[in-house]
Amino acid sequence: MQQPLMSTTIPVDDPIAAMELFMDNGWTDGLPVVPPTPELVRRMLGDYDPQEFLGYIPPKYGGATMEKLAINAVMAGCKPAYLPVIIAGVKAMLTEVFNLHGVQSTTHMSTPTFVVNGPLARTLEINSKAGCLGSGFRPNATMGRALRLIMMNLGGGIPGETDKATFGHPGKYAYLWAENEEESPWEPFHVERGFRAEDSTITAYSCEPPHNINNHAERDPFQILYGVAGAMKGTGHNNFYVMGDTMVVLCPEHATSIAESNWRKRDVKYYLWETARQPLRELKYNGMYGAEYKKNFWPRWVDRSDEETLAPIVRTPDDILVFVAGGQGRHSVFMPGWGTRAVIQKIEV
Amino acid sequence: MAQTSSPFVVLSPQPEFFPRGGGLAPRLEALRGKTIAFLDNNKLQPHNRYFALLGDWLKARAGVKEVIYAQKPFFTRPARDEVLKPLMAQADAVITGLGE
Repeated sequence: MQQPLMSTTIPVDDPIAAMELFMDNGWTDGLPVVPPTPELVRRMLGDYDPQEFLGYIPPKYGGATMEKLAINAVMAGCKPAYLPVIIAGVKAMLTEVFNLHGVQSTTHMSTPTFVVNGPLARTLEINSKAGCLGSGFRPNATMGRALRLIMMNLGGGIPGETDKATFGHPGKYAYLWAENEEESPWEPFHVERGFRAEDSTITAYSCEPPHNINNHAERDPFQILYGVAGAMKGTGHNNFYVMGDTMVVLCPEHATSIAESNWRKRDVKYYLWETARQPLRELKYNGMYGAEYKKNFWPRWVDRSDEETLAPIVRTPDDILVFVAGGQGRHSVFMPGWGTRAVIQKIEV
Repeated sequence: MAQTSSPFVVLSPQPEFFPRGGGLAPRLEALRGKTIAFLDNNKLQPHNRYFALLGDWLKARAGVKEVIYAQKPFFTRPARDEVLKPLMAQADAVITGLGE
């Protein structure tokens, strides 16, 4: 027997009136939504218990049930097959280390990006190749949007109100993609983190938009990664001051060139960690350094008394998350973090 | 669940329930004789000076009995129980939030 739906029902004249009502009530991201009728929500839920409870979404701490996730997934334009990914994404965001309360309410522009690994990414045709961080692909756009709508409607992350971001960024519409495992010369991210290759996972990581790193000139790992480190060394992003995790996404052509010199992913991380550094005299003009700042989030070996000391971008090489994604072309990207940890969560299907 | 005869019905995407006891505490009727705590998000040191000045003002002008100062580990990290529980036990009200 089907479990009853418990959400408040709202009678309207027609679907257009529903879309306008949701706009007027501030229940959307500024774009029209698919009206979540009971029939569509039931179809989205399938065999899930509508009242299964996942937790409270900060900062409003609205209760997240499967029913509420399904309503927001319908609004975003998702297929029912996408719901397990959304559930896992919400679970990842609700872990303490992710600090969703802070992510949702900070003045920084960050928002979670979600990376899907494993066979489900291919089954659902989540784009991992050309244009994977842009528009035009329903799985990426609608699952990413559903997670954002959940953050807004259940979590109350309303821009300019509880979401205090000075600017925000375009990823606050949708920011979900998959690793290009087929064209990566290395093990996928989820395998690196201890999952089986046949598992599917979603990784949530709060960050800025991608910064492009163009290198058409070099095939040598040192030369390619010197350019990547140069982009990472840009001052003003949070990592140099707050640490946490940071993320580099190498395009398949860059990754392949690097691997042809027998570099492993770990070599990439170590090189970037050693090279993407700034002397304290440069850092003091940005971020939260300043005369009053305690400067205590760097590793202990950073000599605060010497302005020539080179501070690392994050505490350890393993705090640099390296993915492979994108299509043809020699452009990689750097996504500076907010200063917290990425969280990987298995997707249960 | 409300019933309707409207030709088109949609479901609310808004939450229907919240944590028990998770709301704001009732507003104090007066500050006199109370213990007030500040929970600093630990972003910039000048906050501490501001809270210290505000604490002095509350004691001198509003009759607050005692002021307690506490800090989150950092603004990107949530406050843990070891920070929050003493405040819950000792303070009549806690002032928190960003203060850039």
